Amino acid sequence: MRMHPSYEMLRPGKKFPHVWCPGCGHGIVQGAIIRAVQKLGLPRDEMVMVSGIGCSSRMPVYVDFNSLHTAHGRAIAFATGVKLHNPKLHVIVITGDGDALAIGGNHFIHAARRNADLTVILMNNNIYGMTGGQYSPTTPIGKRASTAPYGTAERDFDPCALAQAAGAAFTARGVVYNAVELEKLIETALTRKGFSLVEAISPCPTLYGRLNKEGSAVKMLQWQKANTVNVKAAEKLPPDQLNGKIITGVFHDVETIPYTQIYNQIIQRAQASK
Amino acid sequence: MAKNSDVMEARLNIEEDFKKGYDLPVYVYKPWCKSCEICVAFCPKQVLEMGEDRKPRVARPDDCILCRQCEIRCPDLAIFVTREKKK
Repeated sequence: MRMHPSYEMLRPGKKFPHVWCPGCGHGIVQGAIIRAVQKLGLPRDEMVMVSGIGCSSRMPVYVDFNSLHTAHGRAIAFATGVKLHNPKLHVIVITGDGDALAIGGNHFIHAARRNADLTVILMNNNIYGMTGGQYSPTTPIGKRASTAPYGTAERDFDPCALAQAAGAAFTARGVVYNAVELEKLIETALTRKGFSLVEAISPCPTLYGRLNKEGSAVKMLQWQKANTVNVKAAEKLPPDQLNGKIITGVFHDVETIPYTQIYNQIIQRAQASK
Repeated sequence: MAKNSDVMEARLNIEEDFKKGYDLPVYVYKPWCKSCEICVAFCPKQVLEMGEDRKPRVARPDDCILCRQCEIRCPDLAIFVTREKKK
């Protein structure tokens, strides 16, 4: 009989089920990351999972990699340090929309500008889940949150466009409904040099779904199924047909020289001139 | 069975069930299941059904095509396909 293939990647001694609510998409992203790492055959000792604070940031607790659970918004800063110290490691940053774009907004854009060799998995559930459903930088305009009972008046960020503008090497977006595509995007991101961002759209049925009357986890995934357009198909559609749709796929993929390599060259040059 | 268990305990429990002769194409590890119904809703062949205990039940095992959609979408790693795909 076949055993669940992801079980060998879970941390022994940690009690399951995990902390996420029933139907939370973060668990599906966790599964996709585990499968991508298994598919690439990366040794667990060379994997580092770094996270900040938030629902998504609980993941390194459950996955049996080297892990670092850091301060709110600062995961990318810690991860850059890890990568500079030992460039052989594969550093995955697990972060949420509030963690990466509000509290850690500066770390996010500057890591992309430096082209730090990290794989950032940004789980976007459009809300601050852990602290009670405050609106986040990715809550779409007009949507409700506990701090915006009549709908938020603020426009939302597009994390992929933001990272690309700041200088990222690879940006992509996937939805948890299409977990196989998400797994492939994560797999590609792990093989890329430089700052790679995968935005995973993950439903929050407990807070965002309830406050915006979007129904159960199943309904939210069905909504994703009906409202997702691949980037290649989106290019051929007129803009008015893309209103309110989620565009998925790879947006930006270029060969770059990562920060780590440039940094090491400088170290070597400086040591040679002594 | 304890409500919370770590992965080692889960594996032992599942292997014990396998030894007892569990023979369905899909296995649900109930202590980890949170009854979100994603597996039931997105099974392309309606193999699964919600049981009276609000956990999925393998109602039509013969229809299973081993596509692993339930396994891939379960947020809690509580459901998986027990057979390898035929090549």
